[in-house]
Amino acid sequence: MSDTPPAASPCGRHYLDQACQTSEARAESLRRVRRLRFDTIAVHGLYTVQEALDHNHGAIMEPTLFSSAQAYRDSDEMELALGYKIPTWCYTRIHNPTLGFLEDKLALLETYGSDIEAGCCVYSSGMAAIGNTVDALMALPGTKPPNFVSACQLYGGTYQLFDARLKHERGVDVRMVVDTSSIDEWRRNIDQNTRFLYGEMPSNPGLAFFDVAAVAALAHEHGIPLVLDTTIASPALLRPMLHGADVVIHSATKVMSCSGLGMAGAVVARMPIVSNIPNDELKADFALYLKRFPQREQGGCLHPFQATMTLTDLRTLRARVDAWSQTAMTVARFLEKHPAVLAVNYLGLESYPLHEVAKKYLWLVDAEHDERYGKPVNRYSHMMSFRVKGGPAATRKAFDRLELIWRATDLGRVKTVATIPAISTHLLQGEEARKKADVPADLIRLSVGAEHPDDIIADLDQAMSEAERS
Amino acid sequence: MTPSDSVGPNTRAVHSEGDAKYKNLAVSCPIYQTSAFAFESAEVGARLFRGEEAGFIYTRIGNPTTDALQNTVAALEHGTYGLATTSGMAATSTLLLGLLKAGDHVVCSHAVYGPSRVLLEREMVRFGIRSTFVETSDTDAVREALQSDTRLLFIETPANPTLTVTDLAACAELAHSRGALMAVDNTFASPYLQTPLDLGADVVVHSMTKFINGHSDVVAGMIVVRDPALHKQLRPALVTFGATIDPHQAWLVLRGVKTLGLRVAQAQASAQKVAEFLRGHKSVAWVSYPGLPDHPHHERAKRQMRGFGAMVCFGPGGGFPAAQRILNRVRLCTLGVSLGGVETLIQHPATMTHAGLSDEAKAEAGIGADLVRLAVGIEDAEDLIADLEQALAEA
Repeated sequence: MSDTPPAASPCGRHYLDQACQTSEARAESLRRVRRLRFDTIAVHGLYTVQEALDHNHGAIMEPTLFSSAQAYRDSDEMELALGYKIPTWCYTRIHNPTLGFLEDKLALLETYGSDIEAGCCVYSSGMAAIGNTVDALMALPGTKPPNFVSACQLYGGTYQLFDARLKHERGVDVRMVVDTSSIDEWRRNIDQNTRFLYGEMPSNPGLAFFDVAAVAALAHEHGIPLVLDTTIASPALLRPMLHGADVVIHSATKVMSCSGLGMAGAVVARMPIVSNIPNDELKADFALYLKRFPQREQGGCLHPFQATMTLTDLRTLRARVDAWSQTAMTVARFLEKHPAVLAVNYLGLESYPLHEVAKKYLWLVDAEHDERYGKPVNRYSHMMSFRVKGGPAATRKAFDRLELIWRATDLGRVKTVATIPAISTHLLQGEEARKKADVPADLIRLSVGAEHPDDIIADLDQAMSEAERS
Repeated sequence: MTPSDSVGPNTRAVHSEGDAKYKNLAVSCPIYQTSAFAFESAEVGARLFRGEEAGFIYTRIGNPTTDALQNTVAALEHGTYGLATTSGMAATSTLLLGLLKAGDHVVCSHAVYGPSRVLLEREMVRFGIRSTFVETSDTDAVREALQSDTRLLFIETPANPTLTVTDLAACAELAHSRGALMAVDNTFASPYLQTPLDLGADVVVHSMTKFINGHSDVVAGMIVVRDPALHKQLRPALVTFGATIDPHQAWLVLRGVKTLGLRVAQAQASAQKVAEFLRGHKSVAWVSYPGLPDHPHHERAKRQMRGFGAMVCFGPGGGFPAAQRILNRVRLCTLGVSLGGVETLIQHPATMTHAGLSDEAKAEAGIGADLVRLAVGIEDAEDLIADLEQALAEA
């Protein structure tokens, strides 16, 4: 940037005025949209009729801008844009209007039911979102090396990032909490160099769950943020910022993009986040900070076409999460009674040890405004896991006999999918880590889809009956 | 920017999208994957429907991404208006349905794409539209076939699959002198090599599935005209019969067409070498490629085309059994119909693309049982020749 502000020229002034108007219109639009219900926001986001008319030929659906770059009218506009003095998208690795439609929508859904202001930065995958977040929060080392404290019940990829990549390859001080219901264990791991607390809930595949408000309060007591991956719950069931979390991470590949047509990730962050990092920009708008700095330089950007597919699937999020959760509940109750099943982990089952804490947090959004319910109702997501009697061999036999249910390391799909985590998603972390995170070899993870529960149950029944017989 | 009339075909392919391109200041055209468009007010909506104001209503009627493609192909064809359709056959049928009425007569090339002939012979007759099929490369035969009620002369040149070349300027003059319009299926040549509107044609149709898209991943078609009155007549036919292209499909073609010139130039360079190789091979009885000096219409092709194209056909000495053996023995060439893609395709018209024709029609069109059609892709000529050589080798 030159020292002479380009705004001195009449043309530059025009762009700044226009930016000012755009920003006012956006603030007004935000105020209006925040009064709408969850489903309405999921359908429209911030893409308004006016925006369609002004910029997109009136197109009712958000256009997909495949372009890798934005053209500028003149050098004034370019200089102002690249100095971040006017709204711009510039280059698709940095930003893109189609990504913006998705980011606006996700930020609104994650803060639904509150006055919390949040920003969002979307990524090419959930792991890119996690990696970038950790990188940003562990940067700017003080005199002593920073550390972070994480629940040990994590998606296998996240565990590998924290343990293999960060701890062992880079010597990062990663501290794992085994009993996440123990505030004392969290507290014991925190010191003045701790940068953030990290958790995943419900966790994959163990369905661990902890008291978000209590852990968030503990984090804030130490001046650090709580970062939570709530991919499985989705904002239709849990909006952690309403309970004090600072940053929410999603693999938007899952229930948000349920058609299974691609990868996407997202970070939604409160404005501002609590942090002990002496960087005001990072604290004020963490999502924008990620977008401007680590993501811009490290890549990991989302493709606009994928953003469109996610936008499309998101429009039906609440209804899907409701229906699939109910199906999952029916399936879980069936499994609980099945003679070949050793144990069922499903947050909705009264018998599950974490049921009570989950019940406190997992509510179907807007159930009180849904004429079928008319009151708040709990829903416990599409994810469960269960252990088959007879050990790993019997488990594999039952798994191999599934006919309707797909054997794949996928979840949140319109189709029901099963995996054995110990030989797939959580294979690389090794026996000891699996033991710590409670991922036994006889555990099958089941992500329930949109099929009729009778057919899912019939498939599970035939698979396990065969296993019993042989 | 809109290119001036003087710019070359490669520049046209890249820079002719028109307004849609800059609406969002995106360097490449966005996909407007929307079925409908919002109106600013009831009055604007009404004006749009009355055609008093330019704008978008509904994707079957118009869409910015589709517009960008229509503008691009129209520019490549040196035309004014493009009408994109969901397939090449949709372009041809929309043209016929939009232009003709019961009692009208059509003169058509013997050797056209099989389904185009089937459309005229079996479908259009049900609407009282009659057709006569002649060897249009013989201008005298065209003169004789034109009748007082002939409304359309429909030509495909180079002919599919025989590669005879029709004199477009002479035929256009004949058609116009009898009050008929001339339409040309320009799929085989592509606008990079031939622009029939410059030679007097009134309409150009394309299967954009072929050279225009060029990557064998989209089915699509296009009608191009210059005359505003003709556009005004054909556009409602497209909108009403409904063979409209989808925006995503249009965007894929828009992406493919940008390299039209590069692909066609490379493919026809290989085609020339392949044709020369085949002509010199002892197991090949005959080769038809307009780029061979002994092709009966070589001079004519040289006059009206900017190159000889990437289509080659030949007949092995051993007739039908030999043709089948070659088809089964090629390794690099893919046995498949279609053409104009980056990969070389080989097929047998008598039993494949033109199987729907009667034996009589096949004989008239010169589609013998020995005829093998090669659609040369952008691979290196030496590799194609090596593949054909091993396929032609005596067992």
